[in-house]
Parts: sequence; structure tokens; C-alpha cells
Amino acid sequence: MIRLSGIERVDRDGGEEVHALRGVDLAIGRAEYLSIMGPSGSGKSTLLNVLGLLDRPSAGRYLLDGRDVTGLGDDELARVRRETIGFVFQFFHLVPRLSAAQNVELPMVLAGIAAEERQRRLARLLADYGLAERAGHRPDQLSGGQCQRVAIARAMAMAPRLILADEPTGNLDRHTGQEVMKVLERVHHDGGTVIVVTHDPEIGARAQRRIRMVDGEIAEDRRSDGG
Amino acid sequence: MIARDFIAFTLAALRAHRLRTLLTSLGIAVGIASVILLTSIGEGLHRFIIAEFTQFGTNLIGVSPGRIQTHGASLGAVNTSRPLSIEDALALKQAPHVEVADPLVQGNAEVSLPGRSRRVTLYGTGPDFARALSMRVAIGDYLPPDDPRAARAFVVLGAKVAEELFGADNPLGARLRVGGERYRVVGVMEAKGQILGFDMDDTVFIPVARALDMFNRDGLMEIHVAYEPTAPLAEVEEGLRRILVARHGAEDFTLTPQQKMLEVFGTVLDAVTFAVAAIGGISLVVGGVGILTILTIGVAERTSEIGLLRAIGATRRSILLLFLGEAALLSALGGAAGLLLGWGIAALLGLAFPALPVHTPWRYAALAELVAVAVGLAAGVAPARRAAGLDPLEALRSE
Repeated sequence: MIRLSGIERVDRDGGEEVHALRGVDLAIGRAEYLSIMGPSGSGKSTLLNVLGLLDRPSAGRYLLDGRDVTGLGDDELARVRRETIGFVFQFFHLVPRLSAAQNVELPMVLAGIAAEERQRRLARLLADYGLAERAGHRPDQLSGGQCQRVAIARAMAMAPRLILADEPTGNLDRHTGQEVMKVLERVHHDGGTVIVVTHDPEIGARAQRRIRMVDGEIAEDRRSDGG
Repeated sequence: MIARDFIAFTLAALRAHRLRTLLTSLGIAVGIASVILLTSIGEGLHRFIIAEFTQFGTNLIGVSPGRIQTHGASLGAVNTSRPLSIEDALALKQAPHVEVADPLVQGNAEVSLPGRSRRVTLYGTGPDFARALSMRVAIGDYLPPDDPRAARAFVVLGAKVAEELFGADNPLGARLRVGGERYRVVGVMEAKGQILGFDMDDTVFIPVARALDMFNRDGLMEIHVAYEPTAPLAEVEEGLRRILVARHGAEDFTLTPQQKMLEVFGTVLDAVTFAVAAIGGISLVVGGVGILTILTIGVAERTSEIGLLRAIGATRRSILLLFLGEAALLSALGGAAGLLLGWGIAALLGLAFPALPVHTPWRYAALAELVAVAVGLAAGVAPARRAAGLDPLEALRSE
């Protein structure tokens, strides 16, 4: 599903060149569950942003579903993100003035899906992620775990094939974090590709495939069966 | 994005900051209200002045002695102009399409009854004066169609003069002195009120030849020519000019068609209305600056939200449109409130001061609303572009 070859990412920090990614080669198959770990500044978040088409590599090639997305224009990238990728962030990034339901609905609104179809999908999403009773609540009326569930439901609104989660449990207590991970894992069970960036070894260990980044390079790529 | 969702999203953003939205729209509202109010007064004034002039009718041409509008003529040429005579007026009556050509002399005279006297404006006219100026006689008749060169000593009184001198008595047939000579009252005019400062009721009308004698003048001040309403003005003017040039040997007179005067007035008054609208427009610009400020703050506050929207698939164009939409909606709301406010104050002014002519033309109202939206859009361009230009990743990180 994903094939990265020779991905470089060079940032300029006050005239000094910083290599966030150095020649990353990575292939990720359909319905994989993968965690990316590593110390701060190892390039794990940059890698996730490149995968999520939020950041452009300085060099290298990125094939997504067999399509080269490295040269795509801004609007085309936005379209691919909308159709193919769901994002889950550490700080939830819910729109504060909108209700839980409206937040979940947002990607469908942006995609121009008709209201009836949206309502149909929305009802399912709210039910699937246990949000039906909180549908009318605004984010400031929800707990952290509920917020992240709203965010995951929103990520799933367009039924993407790829879910990217950047420290999804980083802002939650341990128990709630594990619950959120269970929700993400269900997405994986339903056939989605889930990639989680985390610095929490306990969270990282849950994935079947675990990548360790050091200094912008993949230092370790391990698989285990099951889990 | 579907249009309805677009509007709903924009409205939700505005509702999230009710007070801010209210205050920002208020700026536009005040601007629009002042534009509406000022143009209402300007337009009212316009209508008032035009009405004052057209009550004499619009198919009028004034003929006056001397060439006022000559360009580059020497002063000597003016001095050689011959006075306009009663015979000139009689001759002009023969011009094509002309219905009435009435000679006029104006001055002041003392009107007296035994024991009472009053200084009034005196008009020396021909028998057709009332007809030419669409003025009506209340009782009796206007001056009879005598030979204007040797007319009988009859007088017609303005409404006020009649009331002051005779009170409730019927003045018809009464004898009084005008400028020391004896006259008999044959009619009383309908009250006409003030016209541009002249009290048309504190007047008396006597035959023009007698007025010329009284004032020791050898020429008329003006000849009023009324023509068939359907006749082409140029043709009428040409006819008058030909006759007078033949009689005087040169074009030593000036034709002033009422229509052209109205056009000039119209142009001047339009300029006045435009000028006051522009003054109101200044406050509209200030309102626009308010929108610019609030939207700039809004973009800064919502940077992270913009990043999210971009991450989940909004294009730069959608972001641009969302913020432009907010700006347009803010100003449209303010504009609508301003319309109501301006119209309301104008209506109240009209009620409170009936003398103050106030008129709100709907095309100005529609225009003002369009201008409000345009101001909002213009104010929204810079913040909206800034929002659309944000890098999604950096925007997401700003928290």
C-alpha cells in the first residue's frame, strides 16, 4: 500500500542543515498495524507527516496505492488526504464550537457529501464509537478519552484505508490511553492500515510491526505474529 | 462543500463570538445607516427643489434681455442690446408651438386703501401670466385680454394681500391705490405659499404697460413663453430666436428653457447627494477596518483549526472562501441592520420635522447593502489569504 524509497527531509535551522530523515526506505502493506518509536528528534513525527502528505520530502519517492504522490500539487494532496487518510492527533484538534457529532461530520462536509448520506454515516459512526449519547456535547463538555474517540470517529468518517495517529495517548492517562488504543485496534481489525507514533514503549509494543527511528534512519524494524 | 453547509459553518463561526460579531457588524451598520440617512436627506432635498420649480410647468422658456451666456463677447456688445418690448412679446406669440408669451416687469409698490396700506411685490404682466405659470385664480378673473399697450387699470391681488387689506370681505370690484394710481380689483389668486424664499401671496398683478410707466422702465424684465408640451424644445427655441433676431437685428437676448435649468439643478443635486453619500462612506470604511481587525484576530486564534481543516482535506480555496464568507456575512448582517436603522431614523426625522424633506430611494438601499458586502469582502481578502496560505503542518502545531 505504501512504498517509500530514499526519502530525505532536510530542514534549515538558522543556516544549519538538519537531516530529519536520511534515506528512509519503507514498505507497508494493506491492513498492517505498525508503531514508530524513537527518541525526540529521531524523525518519527516527520516520517508520519510525510506519510500523511502534510510534509513534503526533500528527496525520494512516495508511492501511495501505487501512485506517486511526491509531485502532487497542494489541492491534489488535500484531496488525497481527504479520501485516503485519517488523522488522530495528540491534542485531539476538535473544533471547540462544534458538537461531537458536527466534529465527526466535518470531513464529510468538506468533501461535499449530501446531508442525508452524511446523517446515515454519522449515526453509524456515533454508534460504533460509543458516542451516541454525547453527540450534542461540545468538546469542552467531554473527557479526554471521549474527545479522542470523537477524533477517531472523525478520522474514520471518510472510511480511509490509512489511519495515522501521532501520540494518540500522549494527552491521556494510562487507562484511558489503553481504551483509545483498543478503539484504534478495532479499526485495524476491520481492515484498516494503522500507523501509530509514540514514545510510550507499552503502547508501541501493542503493534505487530515496530519500527525504531534513530537520527532520521530506521534503526530497527521488527514483526511479531498475532497481537 | 455544499453551499448550505458552507453558510451553516460560517454562521456557527460567527455565533461562537456573539459579542464580537455584534460589535463588528455595528461598525458596518453605523456606516450604512449614515449613508442611507444622508442620501435620504439629499434625495429629499432634490425632490423638494425640483417640485418647487416644476410647479410652474416644465414647458416654459424665459426670454430675458442681454446675452448672459455669450462666450468671449466684449462688454460693448452687451451695451448695445435693445430692451425687450411688449411688442416683442406679442410677436413671439406667433412663433411655432408657442401657446403663451407673456411680458413681465417686477418691482415693489405700495398698495393702499383709505386707512390701510401695504408694501408688496408688484408684477406687471400680460393677461396670460397665470396660465403660463400654472397659477390659479381663487375668485374673479385674472387680468382681461386688453390690448397690452393700453390696458385698463385693473389689479389682481395675491391671497395674502387680499386678506391683509380686506379680511373676510369680498374685494372684487373694490378700488384701491397701487403706487398712487387708482385700480379696480378684478380677481384674487389662490394661495401659493413661498417659492424659494419669495412669498407669492404677498403680491399684486397689474397690466404690464402700467407697471412699465410706474417704474419708468423702457424694457421688460422677461417674457415667459409657454409652448405645447409635445413640441420639440429645439424647434421652439429656434422659432423664438428667429423672430427676435429679425426684430432686434442681433441676438441680444437670452433664452432659458425651464427644462435645461432642471437638468442643471438635477446635476448639481445629484452631485450633492453623491457627496453626502461619500461622507457616509467614510464611516463605512471605518466599519470595514473593524472587520479587517476582527478577522485578522480570528485567523490568528483559529490557526490550529485551519491546520486541522487542511489536514482533513480542505483545499486552500475552501479556507479562503470560508473566511471571505465570514467577512461577507458580517458585513451583510451589519448592512441590513444599518438599512433598518437609517431608514427608521429617516422616517422619524420625516415625522418630527415635516418641513425637512426626507426620501429613501430603494435603489440606494439596495446599493448600500451591496456596498456593505463589497466592503466586507475587501476587508476580508487579506486575512482570508493569510488563512489560506498557512502551512497545514505549522498551523496544526500552533496551540
